[in-house]
Amino acid sequence: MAYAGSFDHLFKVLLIGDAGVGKSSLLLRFTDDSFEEHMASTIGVDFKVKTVVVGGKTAKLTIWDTAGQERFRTLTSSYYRGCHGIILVFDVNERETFNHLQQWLEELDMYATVQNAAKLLVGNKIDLQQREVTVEEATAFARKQAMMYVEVSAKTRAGVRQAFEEVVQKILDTPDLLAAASGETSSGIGLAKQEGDTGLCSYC
Amino acid sequence: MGLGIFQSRNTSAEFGTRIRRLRAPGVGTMESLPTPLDNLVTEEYDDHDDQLDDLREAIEASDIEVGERMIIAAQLSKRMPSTTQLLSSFRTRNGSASSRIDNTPSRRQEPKTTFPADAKPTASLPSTPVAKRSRLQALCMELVQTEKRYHRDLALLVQTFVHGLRAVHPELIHELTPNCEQLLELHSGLCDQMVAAAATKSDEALASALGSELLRVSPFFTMYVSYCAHFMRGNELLEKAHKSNPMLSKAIADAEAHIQRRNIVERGENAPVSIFAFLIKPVQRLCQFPLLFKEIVKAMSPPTNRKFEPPKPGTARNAAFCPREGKEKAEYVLAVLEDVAQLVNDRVWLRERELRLLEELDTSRLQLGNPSQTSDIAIMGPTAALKMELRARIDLHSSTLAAKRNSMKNGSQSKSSKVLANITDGIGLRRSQQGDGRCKLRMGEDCAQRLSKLYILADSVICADPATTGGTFNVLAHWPLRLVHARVVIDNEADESVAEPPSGHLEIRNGREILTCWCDLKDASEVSTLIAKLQSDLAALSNRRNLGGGANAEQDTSRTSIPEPTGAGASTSKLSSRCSLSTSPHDSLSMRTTSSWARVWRSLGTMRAMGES
Repeated sequence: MAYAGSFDHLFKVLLIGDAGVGKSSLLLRFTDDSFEEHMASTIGVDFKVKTVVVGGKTAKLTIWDTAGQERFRTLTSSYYRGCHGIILVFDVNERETFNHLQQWLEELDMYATVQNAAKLLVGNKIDLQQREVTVEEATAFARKQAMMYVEVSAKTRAGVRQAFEEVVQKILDTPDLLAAASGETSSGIGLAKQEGDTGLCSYC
Repeated sequence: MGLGIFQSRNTSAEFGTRIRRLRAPGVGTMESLPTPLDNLVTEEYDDHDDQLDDLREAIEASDIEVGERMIIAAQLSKRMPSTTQLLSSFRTRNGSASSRIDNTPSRRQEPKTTFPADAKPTASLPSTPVAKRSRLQALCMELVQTEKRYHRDLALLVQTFVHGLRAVHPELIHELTPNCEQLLELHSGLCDQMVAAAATKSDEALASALGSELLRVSPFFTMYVSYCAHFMRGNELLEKAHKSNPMLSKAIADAEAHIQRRNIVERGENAPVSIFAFLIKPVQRLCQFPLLFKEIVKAMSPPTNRKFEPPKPGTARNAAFCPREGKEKAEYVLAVLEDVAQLVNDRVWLRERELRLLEELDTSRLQLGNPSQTSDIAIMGPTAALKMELRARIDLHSSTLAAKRNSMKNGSQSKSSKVLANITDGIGLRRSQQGDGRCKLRMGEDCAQRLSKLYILADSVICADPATTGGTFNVLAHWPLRLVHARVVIDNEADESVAEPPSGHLEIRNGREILTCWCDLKDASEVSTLIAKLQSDLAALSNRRNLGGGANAEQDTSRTSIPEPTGAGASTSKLSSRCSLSTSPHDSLSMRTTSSWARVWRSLGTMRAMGES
């Protein structure tokens, strides 16, 4: 695996939402283009790195997943630190996960350290035909919170790439976030500095 | 992942030891079978079906390739021409022993084998239990492997980040990860024990051994409270220091590059490394234990006759007994792991709240730079809390006070009076209700003793000074799960026999509400006098500190506005004020207790100074 090379921006993106809505599946689909039907629960995924090109800019994303630790709210709140983009995920077939979005948003307000982090609402598992949340409902909710809404299926890949690119685009469109990302203020302390550290290539 | 150990041990010799472990009480031993089968222990069993099953499972559970199994089977049948026949005789229970002995005049007994020689090895095996078994093994190995990995990460964290940065900025490391090394020590032990267990046991036995190890160390997992709390607060300090201290940021970058290189060499991974990703690992690991163990519990076969129900959340640690084996034990271990993680989560939450409140309280004092013994103790910044406090007092002055008194008089315990009762009972203050709804506070005999106890339980109460026997106490407590800041002003010298009752008051700040219980303030006019005094104090202070346009505290009793910090001076323009509303006798008394606050300020001062450096 070669070093990903140079990039224009380094963004930290976090996936949040109830357990079992498919955050990890979404992440794996996006970063590794793989899908596991019977992924039990996420264990051991720290974060994944993926480089995307949006609007001619190369953005390196470190995408974090709360890894099934949702019930330990205080502990997982540390994940919010320095996030530029936040993807709220719910399962369109489970109303409960949609109802909890408000709580997640409150949590976000409480713990996010970067002002105006780009938010995106994602309805997952649209391949299953047991919808309990309609597109209109979700769109209305997202609009109220000034978010975009995207429907995806980690299983069929539908919309996954678009969702992540949407977040990147939104970060790129927000000057404050760009400023935060270009400095070393974010939790990716030191990450940005590794660009151009060519010494590493000798090990590749 | 999780199969690394398997792959390194799929030799036939290993396979032999595995079988020996499976049935310990060996009776006879094969003497001269050449390798790789000379490790095979043969034992006499009454129940040959059992024997067959065991071996079948042992082979299944191990990682031996189908090809290798065939070889083992072939070797077995070559060595013992009668294997086929014997194997079929194994099927008949009892009686087969004698026939087998007859067929092996040397009185050697055949090694156990799984496969009828004439059948394809895998085809003849029952699939479901086998799949379950190997899944359990894989899950156990995942726990062991992830523990090994975590141990490596912790070691890297200590060696690279902690040691590296300590040289540059020792205070920061102390704040950020005060007990990282102890965690490493704990997990070194755990990791060794787990690896040892994995090398000698498998499946249910391994799951049980892993459970025992986790159970053994679980009381020490409370160390994570300290780790997580410091990690969450320390991050901010780290960021600030990172920006302002080039030596530090260079040290961090060096450490990150070092780990990245090691990852490339040792793991073939080339992903960016960040100190944050390393610091958060213990937080993640603590939460992972229940997740990993839950999968293990799921994969274990259900108990044949259940004696214990899985403990309910929050009860496992206090359970009187622990099931000794099988799934019931695993369920117990899981409950303990979940409880511990939850406990850490809750305690960290409480600490966060406490520290936030303390910061709010001490800000102004620290910036005055002189936590001297002479100034009054209750000092607050011009925070929302103070504004609310003033409003609350003014409200009290008008209508609310009357309502509150009425509710107290009627005996219907409001939330506030419950909190009051909890606090006063907790520190041994006696309250006595007076006819008009006011209550008297007096120190009970064991008050000082209780205070010192509470003081030791730093989690529960901060800055109640055990040395003080009277005067004003500042109590920061959470009761039972809510953070409460209370000031107890009492007159210790007063005595029941004295005609004049002891006077005092108790202020309770409970989250957003500020509840004040007046104990012996004569009437409403006194309250308004106090409010005026408070306001003039505020104005005087802000004037003294020369805050641009700050000193416009209104003298209007219905509304009070506190000067807002302005412009660049915002961080230093915290106001301080005497908020003590106690009447004259207490002013002198309250001076005695400043030492407790000074102590808190000192400790917070270090932190703050670091944050600002």
